[in-house]
Amino acid sequence: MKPIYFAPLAAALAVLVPNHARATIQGVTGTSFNLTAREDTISTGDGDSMYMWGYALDNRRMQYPGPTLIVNQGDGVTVRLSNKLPVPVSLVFPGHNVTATGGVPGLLTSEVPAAPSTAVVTYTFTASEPGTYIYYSGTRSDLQVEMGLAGALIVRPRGAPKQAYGDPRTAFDREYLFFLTEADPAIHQLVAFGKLAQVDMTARHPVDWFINGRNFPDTVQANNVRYLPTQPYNCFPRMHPGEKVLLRMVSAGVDLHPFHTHGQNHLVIARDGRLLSSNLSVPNPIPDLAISDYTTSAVPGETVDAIWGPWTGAKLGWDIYGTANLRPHNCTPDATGFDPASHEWCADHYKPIPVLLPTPSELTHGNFYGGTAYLGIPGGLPADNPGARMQQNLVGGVSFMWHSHSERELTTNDIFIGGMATMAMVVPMNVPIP
Amino acid sequence: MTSLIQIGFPRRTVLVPLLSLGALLGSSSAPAATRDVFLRVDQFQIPANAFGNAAPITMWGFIQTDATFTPLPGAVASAPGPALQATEGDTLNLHVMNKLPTASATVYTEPISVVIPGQTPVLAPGTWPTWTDGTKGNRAGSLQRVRSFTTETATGATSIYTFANLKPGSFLYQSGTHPAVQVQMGLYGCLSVLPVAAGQAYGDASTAFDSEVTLLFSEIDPAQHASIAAGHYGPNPPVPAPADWLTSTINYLPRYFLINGAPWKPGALPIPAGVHGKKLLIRFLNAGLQSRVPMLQGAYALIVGEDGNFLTITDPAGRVVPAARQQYSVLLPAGKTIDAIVTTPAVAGRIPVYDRRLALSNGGAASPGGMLVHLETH
Amino acid sequence: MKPILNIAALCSASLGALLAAAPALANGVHAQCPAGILTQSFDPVTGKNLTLDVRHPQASTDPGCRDIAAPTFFDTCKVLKDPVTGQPSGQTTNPSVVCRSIVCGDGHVNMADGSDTFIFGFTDVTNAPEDLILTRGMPLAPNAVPLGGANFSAPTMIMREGQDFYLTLTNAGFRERPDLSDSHTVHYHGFPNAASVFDGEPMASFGINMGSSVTYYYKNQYAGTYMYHCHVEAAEHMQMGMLGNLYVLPAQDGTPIPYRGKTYSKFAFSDCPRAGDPLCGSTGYDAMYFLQESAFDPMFHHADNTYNRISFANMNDTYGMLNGRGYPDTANPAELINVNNHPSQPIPAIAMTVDAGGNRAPLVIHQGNRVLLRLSSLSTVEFYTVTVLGIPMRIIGQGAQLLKGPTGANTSYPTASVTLGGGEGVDAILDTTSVAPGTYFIYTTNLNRLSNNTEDFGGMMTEIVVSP
Repeated sequence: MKPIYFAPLAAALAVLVPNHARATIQGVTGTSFNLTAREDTISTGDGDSMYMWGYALDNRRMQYPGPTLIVNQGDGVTVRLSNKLPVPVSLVFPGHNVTATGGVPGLLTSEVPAAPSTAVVTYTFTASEPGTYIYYSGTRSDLQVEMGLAGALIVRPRGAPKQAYGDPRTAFDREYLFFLTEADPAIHQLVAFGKLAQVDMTARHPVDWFINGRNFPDTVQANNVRYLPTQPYNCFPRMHPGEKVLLRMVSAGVDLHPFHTHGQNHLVIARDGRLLSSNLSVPNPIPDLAISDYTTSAVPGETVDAIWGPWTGAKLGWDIYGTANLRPHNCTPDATGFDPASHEWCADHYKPIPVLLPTPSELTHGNFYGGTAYLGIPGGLPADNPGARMQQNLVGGVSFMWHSHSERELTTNDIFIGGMATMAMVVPMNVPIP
Repeated sequence: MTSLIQIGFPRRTVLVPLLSLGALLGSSSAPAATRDVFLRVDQFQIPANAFGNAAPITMWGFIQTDATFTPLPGAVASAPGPALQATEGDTLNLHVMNKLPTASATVYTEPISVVIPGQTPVLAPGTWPTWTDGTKGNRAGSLQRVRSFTTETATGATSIYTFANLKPGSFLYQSGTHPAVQVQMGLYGCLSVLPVAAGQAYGDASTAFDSEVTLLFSEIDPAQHASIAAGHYGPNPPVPAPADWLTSTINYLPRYFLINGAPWKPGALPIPAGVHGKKLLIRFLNAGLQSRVPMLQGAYALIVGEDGNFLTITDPAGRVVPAARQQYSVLLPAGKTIDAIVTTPAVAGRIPVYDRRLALSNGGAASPGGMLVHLETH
Repeated sequence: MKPILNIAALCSASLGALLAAAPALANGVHAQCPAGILTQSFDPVTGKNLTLDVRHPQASTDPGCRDIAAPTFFDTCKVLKDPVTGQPSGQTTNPSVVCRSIVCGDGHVNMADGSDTFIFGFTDVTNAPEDLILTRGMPLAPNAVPLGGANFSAPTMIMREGQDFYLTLTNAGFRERPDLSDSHTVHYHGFPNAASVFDGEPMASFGINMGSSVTYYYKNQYAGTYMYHCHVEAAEHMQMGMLGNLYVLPAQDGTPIPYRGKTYSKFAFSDCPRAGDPLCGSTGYDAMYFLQESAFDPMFHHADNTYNRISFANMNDTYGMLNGRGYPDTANPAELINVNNHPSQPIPAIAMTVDAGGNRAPLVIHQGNRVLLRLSSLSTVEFYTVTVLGIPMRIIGQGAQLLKGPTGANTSYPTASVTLGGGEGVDAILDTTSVAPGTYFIYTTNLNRLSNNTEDFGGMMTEIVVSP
C-alpha cells in the first residue's frame, strides 16, 4: 500500500516537526534581489518538456514562475536585472512607482538589451502597501509572459507577518500562492528554434494550464522536488479544522480563469494589493466590502487575496468525527457552539450519517479519499479500485479540489486530468503540516 | 434612494442620490436641454497599411452631419463614431440616416438602428422590437428571431432615436440591429454625460476631476469584414459558395486591437492627460466582443462608475457612501463602461495604459502594437 | 522512520469495523428517502396529499402507486410537481425533507438550428419506485427505458432553506456507448462546509458505478443560487451536458416584509434576520427568472457518439445556450422533443408556470414587478458576459451569499452586465418600475456567440416580456 513519490508520505514522516501553524510561502526574502533572464526547460504533466524564458535568482537556473520576492511594508526594494536571452527584457511591477536606471528606454520601462550585453537595469521602488503583487517583463509582454517571464511579489504588513494587511481581520494561519498561467507549446517550440518572426500571438492556442508553474498532479508534489528543478513551487494547501487559509492568487497569463474552492466559499478581501474597503484613506482600512464566493474570476494581471475557512464540518447534520461506536470523542461547546479545541460543531455530536453508503465494490474511489467519510478515521481503499495503489490520503483527511472551473483547463496537452488544479486537504488536528 | 428617471413625466429637476449635503447640486434649477445630433451611417475603408494591414478594411461607421445629413466640414466616417457629449437630464435626439450601400448581388447591406445601453429610449408601443421576418412588437410565434432591439432605419431612410432624461456617466451608443455583424463592423461610439455639477463624473465630490480622457477599446476581424464587403454573408449562400462565405459570425477572430480606433504603432502620439499630480477621469469603454483588461502602470485607479452607475454602498447606519474600488487593472468585458479617477503621479510624464490580455500586436506580426497608449501629463 | 500511524493495520481494521458496524444494503439500485413522496392525489378524508413509497411501493398510501407491474403505473402514480418547472418538487410527508431521484446516462437533444446532438446527462426519476428506476423510469412511454433519455438541462432542484435533501443518483450506463463504464457523481456546487463524502468530486471521494445507486444527503442550510454537475472526468462529462440548476429558497418566504413602499413575500435570501436590519426585504421579488449558461462543441459531442477520440485541447463551443437551449428555443415555454420522441430539454430560459395538467405558459411579468434573476454558468471553456438591455439590474447576491459586507453594509451594486466563468453564480434584481411594456432581451455581449454554430440570430439569448 505504500505509495511512491507523493507528498502525504512526507506528511506522515514529518512526525518530528513540532505541530504549530507555519505561515510561510516559498520564496526569497530581503530588500535587494539580483535576477537574470535566462532560458531553460520545464516538465509538463504529459511527460513533455517545454522551452522557457524565465527569471533566475542570482546564478541559479531560471524558475517558473520567477522567484517569489517577499519583502516588508516600507522596504525600499532594489531589483537588478541582467539578461542572457537573445532578446531585450525588462521588469514591470504593477501597483508600484518604479524608478529604472540603466539599460535602454522601452515602451513601458527601461530594458536590458539582448545578450551578450552585460548591462544591468536597476529597478527601485518602495513597497509602501502590503499585499500580493505581480511582476513580469514589460518588453514584448505578449510573447515574454507566455514564455515564462513572470513572478509574484509579496509585501508583508509592518509588524504583522501572519496578516495579509494591517487589519487583524486579514489574519491567517496558513498562506499559499496560486500563480495562474497558461501556455501554448507551439509558440515555445517556434521560439526554441529561433523562429520568433513566425510567432502569431493572435493564433495563440493554450493547451497547458498551470498553478505555480506546474500542471496537476505535479502541483501536489513537494516543494523543490528534484525532478522539477526549474519548477520549485508546489500548491498543496493543507489545514487543520478551524484554521484560516490565505489564498494569494496571481493571474499572470492572458485568459480569465474562474477559480473554484470545493468545501466552502472563500472571502475575497483584496484585489491588486488593495483591501476591498469603502475607505482606504484611514491608516488601517478594514475590508468592509469583502465578498464571499464559491468561485472567483482570476483576471489577467490582477491579484486577489482570499481567505478560505475556517472549515469545521459544521451543520452537516452528522458528526464528521464519527459516531460513538466508531470513535468515542468529546465535544464541549463554547458560546458559539463549537468545541474550542477540536472545532467540532457540538450540535451534531455523534449524529450518524442518515443514509447508507454503497458497498465498496459499487464505487470507484479516488486516491485522495481518506477511506471513510470521517475526518481522522483513515481507511484503506479496496484493492481493485484505481485509487488503491496510489492512495494519497493516509491520515483520514477530508480533501477538496481547488481548480479552474473552465474544465478544459483541467487538462495538460489534451490529457485529463491535469492542468490548473490542485487538492486541498483538511487534516486531523494531530497531524503535523509541513 | 436612487434618482427617479421616468419616461413621460414632466421634465423636472433630477434628484441627486445620496450623500452629504455638500454633494447637492448647486445649479439644480437649471433646465435640461434638448440636443439634436445628426449622424449618418456610411460604409468606409481603413486604407491598406494604416496599421500593417495588407489590404484595405471595409468598415461601417457614424459620421457627424448637419441637419441635411451632409457631413460637417472635416468630418469623416469613423469607428468609433463621433464622441457625443450631453448633460444629465438632457433629452438627446439622434437623427440617423442609413447611407449604407443599396443591396445587390455583390453588396451586403442591412437596416440599422441605435441603442444606448443604460439610457432609456422613447419608443411608441408596438414599434419594437423588429423580427427577422420584418414584423414588430411582442413575438407572435415561437419561431421568430429578433433582428433589432428597437425601431429600424432602412437603407436610405432616416429615423430619430430619442433618449430622455439622460443619466450621467459613460455610455456606448451602438447599433441595435443584427449586433453580431453591425457592432464589429464599426457602428459604435462614446456618449459622455456630465452631471449638472461641473468637474464631477457623477454628482458627487468624490468623483471630481481636473481632466478627462476617453479610452474606447475595440477589435477588427479583417476576414469577417472582407466577407461582408464582398457581399459574401447571409443564410443562403449560392451554390457553389465562395470560400469566404459566412452564415454567422461564430468564428470571429480579431487580428487588430484598437484604442480610440487605432492600434499602437511606431510614432504613436501620447494622449494629453492634464496637469501632473491632479485628478484624471478615464472613461473606459469596450465596444469589442471580448474581455479586455486595461492596466495602468505606476498608478492606481479609483473605480467610481460602472455602466453609468455611480458605485456606492449603504452603510449599516443607512447612509449612502461612495464605494470606489482601488485597482491598477480594470476588467472591461464586452460592452462594459467603467469610469476611473486616477491621481496622476507627482512628476509630469507618461503613464502607459495597455490591455493586460496582451493584445499587443498588429495582425499577429511582431509587437509592439495593439492596445497600448501613453497618457502624458504636463 | 516509523510512520506515526500504523497504516497497514488501520487499512484492514477500520474499514472492516465500519462494514461490520453498518447495516448493509445489497448491491444495486436503492432510493433512500426517510419519508413518503407526495403525489397529486388527495386523501378525501384528511384533504392531504397521498404518498409514494419508493422503497416499498406496495406500502404507498396512494393506491395508484402500489402495483409496479401495471403498464399504466406512471399514469396512476403522479408525484407533486413544482409549478415553476413542471418537474417533481420532491416534497414529502415531512416538510423538512425533500427527496429527489435522478438517473445518469446518455441521450439526445436538439440544438436551435435543428441539429440532433448526443449528450450525457441526468433524468428525473423521482416518480419511480426503485425497482422501476432502471427499467421504466421514464413516465412518458410506459415501456421505454431511461437509457437514451438524458435531459439537458438536468432536472432542476428547487428546495428550501432548512430542508434535508436526499438525492439518489443511479448510474444507468450509456446506451450508445456500451464500451464505457464511467462512474458518475453529483457535485452540489457551492454547498458550504461540505464533507468530501457527499461533495461528488471523485478524487476526494468516489463515483457510483453502473447499475448502482448512491444517495447523497445535504442539509440545505443557506438560501442561494447554486448549481450541480457530474464531476467524474469533468472536462468530458460537463461538456457532454451533465449540468443542472439548483436553488435554495429562503426560510423567510411567506413572511410579508415591506421594502420601498411595497410588500414582498418572496425573497432571494433570508435578508431579515432581525426586525430593523437595514437589508430587510431588499431581496424581495415578484417573479423569478433562472438562467444557467452553458455551451456545446458539436465536434466533441459527435466524436463521443461515434467512438472517436475526444479532444479537450481543441474544445470549441459554438452552441451557446441558456438552460440547455439556444435562441429562439430559449423563449419557448414548450417542452422540446428530440429525435427519439423524448422531451429531453424540459425547461426554457424564461419564467414559466406549469399547471396541474402540465400546461405551460410564460409567467406574466407586469411593469413595476421586481424580477429576481438567478444567473449561473457551467461553461467548460469560455466566459460569457450577459446583459439585460433596457431593464435596470442590481446585483444583490454572489456565490450564494447576500451582498452584505462584514460590517452590515448593503454592498449590492447596479450594473448593466455580468461576466461569468464556469462555476460562478450571481443573483440580480431587475426593476421594471420605469420600464415601458414590451419585449426586452437578455443576451451575451460576446456578440459572435449569438449564433447556433454557423446559424445566425441564435445562441445565448432569451427574452423578458414586460406587460402593463
